[in-house]
Order: sequence, then structure tokens, then C-alpha cells
Amino acid sequence: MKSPEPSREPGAEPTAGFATVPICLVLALGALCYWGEFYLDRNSGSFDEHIYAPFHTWDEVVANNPVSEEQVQYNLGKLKFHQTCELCHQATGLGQDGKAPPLVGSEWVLAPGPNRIAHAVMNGLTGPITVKGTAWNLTMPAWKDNFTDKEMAAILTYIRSEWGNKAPAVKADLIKKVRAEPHPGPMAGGDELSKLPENL
Amino acid sequence: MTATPTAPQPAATSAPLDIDASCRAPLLALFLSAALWLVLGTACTLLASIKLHVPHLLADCSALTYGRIRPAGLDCFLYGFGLQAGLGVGLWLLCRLGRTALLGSGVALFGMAFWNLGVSLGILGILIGDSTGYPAFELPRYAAGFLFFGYILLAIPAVMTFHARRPGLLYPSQWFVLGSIFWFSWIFSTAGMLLLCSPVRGVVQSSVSWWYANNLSEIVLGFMGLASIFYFIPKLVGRPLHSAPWAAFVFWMMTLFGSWAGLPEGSPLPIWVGSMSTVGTVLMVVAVLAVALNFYHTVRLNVNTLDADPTLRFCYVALIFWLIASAQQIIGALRGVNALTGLTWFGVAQKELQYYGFFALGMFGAIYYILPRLLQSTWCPHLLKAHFWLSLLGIVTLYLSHVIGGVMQGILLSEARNSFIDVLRSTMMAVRIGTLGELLIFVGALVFLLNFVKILSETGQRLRGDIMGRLS
Amino acid sequence: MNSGPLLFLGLLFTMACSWLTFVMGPQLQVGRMQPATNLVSQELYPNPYEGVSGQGSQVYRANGCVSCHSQQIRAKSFGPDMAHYLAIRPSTAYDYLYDQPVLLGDQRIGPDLAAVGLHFDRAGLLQKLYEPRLSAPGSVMPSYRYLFETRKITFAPSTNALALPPQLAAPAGYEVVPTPAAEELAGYLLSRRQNVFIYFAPPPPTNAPATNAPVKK
Repeated sequence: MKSPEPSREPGAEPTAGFATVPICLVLALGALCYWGEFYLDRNSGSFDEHIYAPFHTWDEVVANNPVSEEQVQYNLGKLKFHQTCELCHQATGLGQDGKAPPLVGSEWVLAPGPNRIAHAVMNGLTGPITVKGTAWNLTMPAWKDNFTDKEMAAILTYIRSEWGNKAPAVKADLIKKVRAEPHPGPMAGGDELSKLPENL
Repeated sequence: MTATPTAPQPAATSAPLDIDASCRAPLLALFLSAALWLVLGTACTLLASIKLHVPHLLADCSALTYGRIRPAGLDCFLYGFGLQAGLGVGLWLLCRLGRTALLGSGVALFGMAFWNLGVSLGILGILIGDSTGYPAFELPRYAAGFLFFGYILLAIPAVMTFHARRPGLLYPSQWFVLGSIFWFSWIFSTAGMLLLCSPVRGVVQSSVSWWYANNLSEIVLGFMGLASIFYFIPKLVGRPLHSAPWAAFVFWMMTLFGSWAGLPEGSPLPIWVGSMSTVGTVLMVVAVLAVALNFYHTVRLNVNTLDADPTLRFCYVALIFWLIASAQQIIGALRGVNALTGLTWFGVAQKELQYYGFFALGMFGAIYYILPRLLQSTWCPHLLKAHFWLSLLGIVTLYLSHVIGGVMQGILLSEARNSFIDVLRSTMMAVRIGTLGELLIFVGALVFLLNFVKILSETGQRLRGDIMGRLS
Repeated sequence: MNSGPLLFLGLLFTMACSWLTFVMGPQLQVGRMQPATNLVSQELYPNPYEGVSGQGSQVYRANGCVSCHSQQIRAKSFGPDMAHYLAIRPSTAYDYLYDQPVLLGDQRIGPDLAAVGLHFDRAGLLQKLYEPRLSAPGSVMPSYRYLFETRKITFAPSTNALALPPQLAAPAGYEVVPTPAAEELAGYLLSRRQNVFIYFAPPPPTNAPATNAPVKK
């Protein structure tokens, strides 16, 4: 229907015609709804609350937030080392006279198998020990009650891969075995440590 | 609801003169308050804008710091001017189109009083540091309560008047007015409950506040402005609106999809929230086209009508600004554009065009038509013309400078090697020009208030003269 | 469209659509969010203990800092936010879990502050609040001198007095000292780091309903 009455006096209230909505607008709406569907298909993350921009699927989220086991262990070891061990061994791992021997470049830390240092950390260490040609004679307390197997393995992994040290990671299984061997009191210096096998 | 009368017919007749007389008190109060808040609001945003160039200006006064004076100015505009002018125009439209006198004008006056109390408390609250921080919703909780109560008191006469209307077809402006009134009560109570009374957890607050701000701008104020435009353009051009079904299409498209706009992509909310918002915003295109085509067919580009009536001039410009602001919102929601222009002056420009361009001019046009008929007086034509040109030049300057500044800012920031402070310095020229625009808008608001005071004093003098004449 | 009741029903329906999508939807999905577990340190993120930073967020809100500063680092496809604002990852919903109010911001007249605690220290932040142009010439940020107090030096200079260049320093015998509000604001800004890597592991399914109750600490 076309608009009635071509002109009215301006004082009267306005009226409206009855032309139906043009088909092209309806088709445009339809086309836009179609586009909208595709857009939501691609960009709505299936309406999942865990999917944030700019990711579209859960797999993308996972792929872009890689957290390897090694990374977790490294970070855990770093955290625990700096909370505890650095008080004596220093944050730089260089140790300090009267407090603790260095870990950087230490032959004990860099031994291919970590069994000896695992025993030292687990049971404590007292008596003479030579590190990098220097004689040390201090007391390290036992840490078996302060760290879980996982944490201790992480700390040892950390000191073996930080500050230029390069030695293989330590597994929690090994720590578990070391813990299972009871040892009264601390290890008696470098002598007793040397008698242990490097690897378990 | 076509032939059967619904409520007992009021004693007042349906003559326009009597209808206007029944509205006189509440509308006068609403419009005068609105004019005063407009001046205060534009003064505050002007001061804020100046402080961007002279940061030390009044910097030691905590109530006038940028972060307080700017939201205060904006809320003066939205709540002091915007909703009062909108409700005043809305009430008048419901009366005129329903061909019935206003019912409950006393209630409306109370509502206006509570509303103004709420806005005053709110603005003072913002200045003393009780701002809520949410965009377009900075009024503190204690003010929001008064606002809501005042709003209900203002909505009751609207609904009563609508219910008492003469039987007949509804005109689009009536839908828009009712839609706006209904919408505000829902969004305001929701935002009040979920942000102020019992705050939701974490980023859900952002979703609610962005939803509220957009619905306030797009639906509440937008529909009031559209109601004015849909009424005055056909009426003053002397031709019927081309199509009511087209207007209905616009109405439902805006309520359904326009209410989804305003939530940006890339925010910490889940991705589907931003995407749904983008889809809704883009679907608004059909509504924008329908409005443009509807008015094109109504007016048939008969530009001689531009000189006919100042209201018509205001409404034409308001319509064009609505089309541009909506188009910008649609374009700005697209992901690629949002990545470039999000969080820059671009978004600010769109809001400014929506508020000061489309909505304010639509309201001015309506008030310039309504008030002389309420008071049986005339405006000063020079001040009116000055107001029109000041507002138009002001908003064009403000908008263009901020749009260009925003796009420039976005492009420069998209390069990581441009430092933030360098980008800021590059956009300052645009901001300076924008301040000039704000100055023009403020002066325009002053001129409007001056004209208002003039027409009131003229009416007062004439009434006094009449009374004296009758006594002697 | 001539029936009042039908108009009302239509409005109710369309409003409900909008409300369900943008208010109820996020509330049901994210409204019951609990702190995430930092995979590495096994600690909860975000830190539930507020203290000074919680009070500082009220100073941030009251002074309208959100008018110029946003607090959302967007992913790389939205622009080089991480490069500009020295953040180490995009913002996630967990970062705002304990914020009240959550002020993501709509405009960047000033830089984004989501990670500002990573590249400012307390003294730098206080100096920035006192006179922003000392560290950023050409900045338009207002000076917040009302957050500081110039007072007479009694026995010895205070340890927290600001170090200012000669043209801004207090007169002889006086010192510029931050008020508690300034200290709180600085504490809050220092806590804005968003530097904890959270792995978005799906939490175990929970039947807990969405709630507005504050997160249990």
C-alpha cells in the first residue's frame, strides 16, 4: 500500500503509511543472520567459558599454553632453591666461606649420576669434603623431612642445569629410593660420599 | 486495542491546546532542570577537556581532578539533561499522540524532584570521591536509589496516559517512548543490583557495565531521540511517515540486536561474549537502512523544508547524526577495525556523536516546538539560530577531530616501535581541536538556557500584564 | 503493532534475550569462578590477601583513574599491547577475580596499567603521581599533589619523603611526604603485574551455582 494523503496541514498529528518492509531488507537481514552464524561458528569458542580471545578451540588454548614436565620441574626447583638453599649456597650458587661450598662447576653436582648429592641432601653432610680443589668442613642439615621426593628432585635438577652447569635431570624415583635407605645421622664427609655408587 | 475504549475517557478534551495545558507544569520543570544540567554538564566536560592541555589547571583541588570532573560532566548530561528531556518529550508525545491530557502530572512533578535530588547527590558524590567507576554509571549507590524511585514516579504518568489514550492506531513514536521507559527501568535496576548492591564476581562486572552503558545510549536515549524524529519530521514536512511497518521493523531490530552492541572483542571475558556483541551490532545495519529509507521516502529530499521550522532543522541533523553514529558503531565492532581503533578516541567520538549530536539535537528540536505551545510564547529567533549553529559546528568539530585522532592513535599504536608517549603527543593536536568543539557546545548550551530564561520571563511578564489588566 | 499488552510482551522478550546473553550468560559461566592454581608454585592465583592493594583500589576508583587508563592487555592479534605496556601475557578473567570494582577501562589516554607493577617501583610511582612530567615529558596526566603533604621536617627527614628535583622540591626545612592514600594507591599499582602463568586446565566439573558471594579467601 502506498502512502495516503500527499499533504496535510502541519498542525495535525502525523500519520504513517502502510508500505510493507521491502523484500531486499528482509533478504539483507537473512544474509546477515547467515553471516552471523558463520562468525559465531568460528569465533564463539563453542560458547565454552574456558576459551578466551584469540583462541577458537580448546586445542588451540592448550597448544598456545605449553607447559612441559621439564618446565614445571625446573620452575619448582628454582622456587624451592631460592626459598631455602640460597641462604647458604647463595642465589648465585657460588657458596660462601663459612656457610656452604659452591655448586657452580662443582664436580659433585656435575657427576653424571646424582646418587651422591642426593644422599647428601637427604641425610645431611658433615666432615671434610673437597670441592673444586678447596677443602671444606662444615655441616649441612638433613633435608629429608623438609622436601617431598618431587621437590628434592626438582632442586637437584635445577642446580644441575643452572649457572652454566650441564648435567642430566634427576627423577623423583631416585629420590624415593634414596629415602628408602635409612642412614642414621649425616653423611660423613667426602669419604663416605665417594664410597657410594654414582648411580642407583 | 483498535475500537474498544479501554479506560473511562478523561474529562479533558483532546484539543492540542488543552493537552499542552495539562502537561505544562511537569514539562516546564523537566525541561528547565534539563537545561540547567546541560549547562553544568557541558561546563564540566569542557573543563576536563581543557585540563588535558593544561594539566596543572586547578590540579590541587581533588574534586576537580580530570578523573572526577569528566565522569561528573558526562553523568550530568546523561541523567540530568538526557533522561529528563527525554522523559519530558516522551510524556508530551504520549499525550499528543494519544489525544488525551496527561494523567498524574502531580506524580510526575514528585518524580522530577526525586530525580533531581538523585542526580545532585550523585554528582556531588562523584566529586567527593564516591564514584563507582563504571562507565556511564558513576553515580554512587545512595544517589541511584533516589534516581530509580524518581524514575518510577515519572514512568507511572506515562503508562497511565498511554492506557487512557483515544482508540486508534499507535504511531511509531509511541512505541519508541514506551520501549525507552521500559528498557531503562530494567537496565538500571539490573545494573544497580549486580554492580552496586550485590556485586557480581570478577569480569562479569565488566559485562554488566558495558551492557548497561550501551543500552542506555542505544535504546533508552536512542529511542527517545528517534521518537522525536519520527514525530516531528513527518508532522512539520506535512507528509505522512512513509511506512509504519518499516518503523516497526526498525523498532524490533534495535531492541533485539541493537541491545547486544557495546561489548568489545579481545576483553578478558570468554570469546563468545565479544563475538555475540559483534554479530548483534552488525545486524543493526538493516535497522539503519530502514530508518534512512523510511525518511528518504517521507521527505523526498525536499530541502526547501529546511528553512520552514527550526525544529525541522534540528531533527534532520539529528537523524543524519544517528545514521553516522550507528554506522560507525557497526564498523567499529568488526574485529579488524576494533583491533586498530579499540580503546582510542574513536570510540569516544562515536559516543559523543550519539549524545551531543543525535540525542541532544533531537531533544532541542522537540523542546523548541513544545515549549512555546506550553507557554503561548515565542523563542528569540536570534538565540535559537545561534544555538543551532554553535551546536552543529561544535559537534562536527568535536566528532571529526576525535575520529581522526582516534584512527591516527590506533594506527600509530599498532606499531610496537612507537612509544606510547610519542603517540600521545601526535594525537594532542586532534584533542586540542576537540576542546574547541566542546567550547562551542558549551556556549550553545548557555545560549539555549538564555533563550529558555527569556521565554520564561516573557511569559511571566505577559501573565502579570494579563492579571493587572483584569484587576484594573 | 497497536496493542499495548503485545508491545509490552515483545519488549519483555527482546529485553530478556539481551539480558540472558550478556548478564545471565557470563554470570552462569564465569560468575562462580574460583582462583586458579599456579602450576609451578602450586599457589592460588590471584593472591587472596588484599591489604594495602585493596585499599589502594578504592583510591584508584575514587580519583577516576579509569577515565584515562585501561587495565586489559589484549592478545597479539589485537595489537602489540604486551610490547607497549611491558606485560608478559594477555589478561585473563582470573586476573580480576578479587578486584572490586573491576575497571577494565574504555580508553587509553594514558598507558594501560595492567602490568605497571612490573616496571615501576614505589618511589617511581609516587614521583609519577606527584609530577608525571618528571619521568614523561609531554604527559597530560594531572598532578596529584593533593595526595601528598608538604610538612616541616621535625628531627630528621622522613624515610618516605619524596626525592624531587630542585625546581619542585619543598622549601628549606620542609619535605614532601605521601599521605596514606598515596601509599595505598602506589601499593595497588605495584600489585598490578599479571605475571603469573596460569595453565588453562579445565577445572573439575562442579555443580556449584553461580553466586554473587565474594570469593572465599
